[in-house]
Amino acid sequence: MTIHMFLGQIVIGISLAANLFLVASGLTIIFGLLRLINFAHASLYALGAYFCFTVSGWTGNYWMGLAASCFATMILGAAIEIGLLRRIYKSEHILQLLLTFALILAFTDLTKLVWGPFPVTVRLPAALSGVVLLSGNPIPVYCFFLIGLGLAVGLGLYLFMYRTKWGAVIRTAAYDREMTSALGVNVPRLFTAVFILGAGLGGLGGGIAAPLTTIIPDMGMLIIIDSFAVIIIGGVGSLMGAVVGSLIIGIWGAIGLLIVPQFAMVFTFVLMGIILLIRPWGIFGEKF
Amino acid sequence: MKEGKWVGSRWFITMLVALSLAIVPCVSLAETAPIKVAHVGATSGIFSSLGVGGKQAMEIWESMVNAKGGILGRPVKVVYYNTSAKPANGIEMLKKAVYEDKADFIISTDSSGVVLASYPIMKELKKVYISGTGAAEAMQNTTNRYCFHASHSSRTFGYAMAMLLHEKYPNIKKVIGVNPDYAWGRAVWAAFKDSFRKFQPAAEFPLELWPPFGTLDFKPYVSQIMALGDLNQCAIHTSLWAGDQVTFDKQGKAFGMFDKIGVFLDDSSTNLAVETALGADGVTGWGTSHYSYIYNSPSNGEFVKAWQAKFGKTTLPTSSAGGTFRACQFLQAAIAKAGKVDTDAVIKALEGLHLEDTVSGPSYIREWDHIVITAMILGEATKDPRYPYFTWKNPYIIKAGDVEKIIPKEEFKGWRGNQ
Repeated sequence: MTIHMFLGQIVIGISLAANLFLVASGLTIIFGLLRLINFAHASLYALGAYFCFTVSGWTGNYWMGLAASCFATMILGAAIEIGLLRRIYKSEHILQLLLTFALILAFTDLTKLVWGPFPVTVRLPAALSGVVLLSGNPIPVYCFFLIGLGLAVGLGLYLFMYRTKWGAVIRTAAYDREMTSALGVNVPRLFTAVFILGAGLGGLGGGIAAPLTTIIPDMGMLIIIDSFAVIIIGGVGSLMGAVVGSLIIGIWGAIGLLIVPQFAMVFTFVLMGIILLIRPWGIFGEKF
Repeated sequence: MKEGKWVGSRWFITMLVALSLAIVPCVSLAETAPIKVAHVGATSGIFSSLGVGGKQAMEIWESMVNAKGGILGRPVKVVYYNTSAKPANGIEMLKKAVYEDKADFIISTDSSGVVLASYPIMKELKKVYISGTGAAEAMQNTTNRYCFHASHSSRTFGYAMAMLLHEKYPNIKKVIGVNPDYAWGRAVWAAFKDSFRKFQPAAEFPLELWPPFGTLDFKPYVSQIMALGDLNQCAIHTSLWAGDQVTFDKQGKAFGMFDKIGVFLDDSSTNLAVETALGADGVTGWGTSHYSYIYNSPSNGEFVKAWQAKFGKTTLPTSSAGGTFRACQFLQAAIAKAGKVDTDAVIKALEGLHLEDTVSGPSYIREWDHIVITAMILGEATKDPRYPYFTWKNPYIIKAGDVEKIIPKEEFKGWRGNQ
């Protein structure tokens, strides 16, 4: 392994982390405020990719597809939160898990009915095709786009959460719902808004992954495991945790293959196990 | 006494007439009742493209057979069961098909795992089971008198691709392997390497990559291939299949990998499904398959025509569809040869059955391991103005007789070893 090869893998790893962050940040934001373990996030990711496929197919424009993946899943997220989840916030986590898992099964079958079981794909936009030579390593332009978008979304979420009034309200509600409600904030509506934001991030993750992956009804199940690993390692409910967790898993996913290919996958879960044993609330998480 | 005797005779005659009246419709009903064929396949879950292709083939076969008056004058009725590619579901569905729904025969389109799990239970269910897919070599060693297999094995795939590479690209000696890290990928790559070394003693394998099944991102793997530098005289061999290969191809394209390599060898058996998903972004290279629409035989022509009439002019039957249809062709011919639907009679008819015209040309079933020996068809995926995706041209065919030599009798114990 040369230093050039190592550098190339680092960049690839960061691009993996960027995509993972988009999905995991939605999960962690929802958990941070709603205390809901939302397995259905997997379906929102898959549906985001399918919406992107359909709309970019109709319009011949990937960017329209990407916008649709985000907005359509936000609408769907609102329907899920208002129609179902709102009724079970006070229930035990196991019931929440069961309901959100049931949603995955329902959405997967629905996806199959609408788009069929065969894999479909989205064309890579012409503007983002091609490679950039980095230390002699060809890196797809799309990887840099992923990194840029991940940074932009991360920064945007940080500014929203820590530099705006609504961000402060959300953080307050995460600590004390009753007190926030007593201050005149419509907490159920706040919950809906946060769920919509999280759902949109899940859909955006699907739309952004679409040009370089296979779109199949079960695709969400594949990424949701990594996303949960991200938030467990980084800290459940923590935005910074999602950033760090994504970087650890993404970069290791690329570098581990060079160093110990047979154990590359195991590492993530071993690390997750260690974190759960010594700091169950994650690196940046807080006890709850 | 006399009267009593008369009463007795009259009672006897009445009973005889009543019995005849009851039996005649039963006999005639049995003779005209549909022959029930259960299709057991993965029509949902991650392998659903496999089972759905098989289901589509069954629909066509059922219509074709019934349009020609059925088998032995009886219509065929296909009943569908979904396993979701889970072995436990497969066993449950088989029991349901036989015990509850009284299926006469079973055709399967599933993963090797489900097919292998189904074999033992068929000894209890005592019905003929023909799988149209699955490529694990273990099938040849775990089969039993009720189970038949109508597609190719992993060894045939590896061998065929090595032979093609050697004959078509004699200057290429280096091959990079990107194969899924489970039994199928390991077996195909081992068969390919062994065979290619025999054809090309100077063979080199500079990089072997083993992405796990369901890999989300192949970029780290592609990046390693690109780091090798000059790939002009290298082939890439892969048995990644379905969605995994679509992702690999897309990400390989993003790196410009396919423009740099000597030749791409898709040994997955799912090339058509992959190319269909890739659409205009297809990848040029050679593919293997359990079956191909490109094969020129009367029954394949009829099958492809019926397929396009039913599913659309720009669609083509997939590998799993063709394998399943071939299984049906053997079942149909065996029932006709046996002259009845009795399991033992149909098994006897299947063993050694030779068909001149199947979707993959002349084929036969080996008596000792119940494997259908049929042509292995490879093709070169290229742009085709008739379709919105890449299709095959330049068929490279290994005839049934030569396929027989790839899987010789000496290496397998056959079905008698499992009774």
